Amino acid sequence: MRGSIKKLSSIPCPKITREQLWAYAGASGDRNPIHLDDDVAKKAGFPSVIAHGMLSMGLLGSYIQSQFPENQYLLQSFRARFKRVIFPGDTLTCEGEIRKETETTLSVALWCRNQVGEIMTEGEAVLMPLDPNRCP
Amino acid sequence: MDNSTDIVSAPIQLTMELIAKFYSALQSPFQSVVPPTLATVFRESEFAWLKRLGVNFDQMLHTEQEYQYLKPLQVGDRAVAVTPSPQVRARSGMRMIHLKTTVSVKDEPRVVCHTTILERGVSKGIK
Repeated sequence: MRGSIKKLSSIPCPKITREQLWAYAGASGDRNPIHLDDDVAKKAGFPSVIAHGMLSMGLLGSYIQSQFPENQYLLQSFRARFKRVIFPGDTLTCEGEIRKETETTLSVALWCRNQVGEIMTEGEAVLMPLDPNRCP
Repeated sequence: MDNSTDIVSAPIQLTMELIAKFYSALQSPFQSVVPPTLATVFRESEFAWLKRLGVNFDQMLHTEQEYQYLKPLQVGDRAVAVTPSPQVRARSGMRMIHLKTTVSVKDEPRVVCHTTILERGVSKGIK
């Protein structure tokens, strides 16, 4: 598929819940109360607690793993920009496309949209195929 | 080279339990490999810098994150993160803070993390 943009399959994620924010806080170590305490979030100007931006990047990371298995591709870099605040109740869908392919690298654009189609987090990943003759 | 402005995090052992907890929090299928964003657990040194800078965590937004993977982190690794003095730019009542953290195993760099934080509502006295 060299030289053309290839869309990857879309993968919906389970709805973001407050319980997940607590779980992610525990797993990641980011216990900023803006993610856990509505009063703190409201003082910061939000209607409720907000999801960790890194949670959405984690979902995109899982998406990378699903599309580019670790025994076939080596992840070299991964970057994300947190464009919109994500709230409990939001449902995210991960999407992506291969933008460029060379002999040794795949450049992939990734994003997750919410339930009304807004892009919440977007980013890029660069991977190296472990088998240079393989085309995804 | 002794750079006394660096902040070093406490070492973290990448156990299967820690990794399973991370996948579970993402509600992603468990894999016996380190997930791409696991390096976020090494942000202790970054949070320490933000506290040192007097950042108001209620007005802080994480705007961008980048990882450069030099060599994969693996289950069983005991890793340490080092964050030198961040770059800070202030204007129009905001501060943009860029932190660069290197996660290493046995002094071998594995992941370089670039974190960009925006602090809103900054008073003029803070630089």
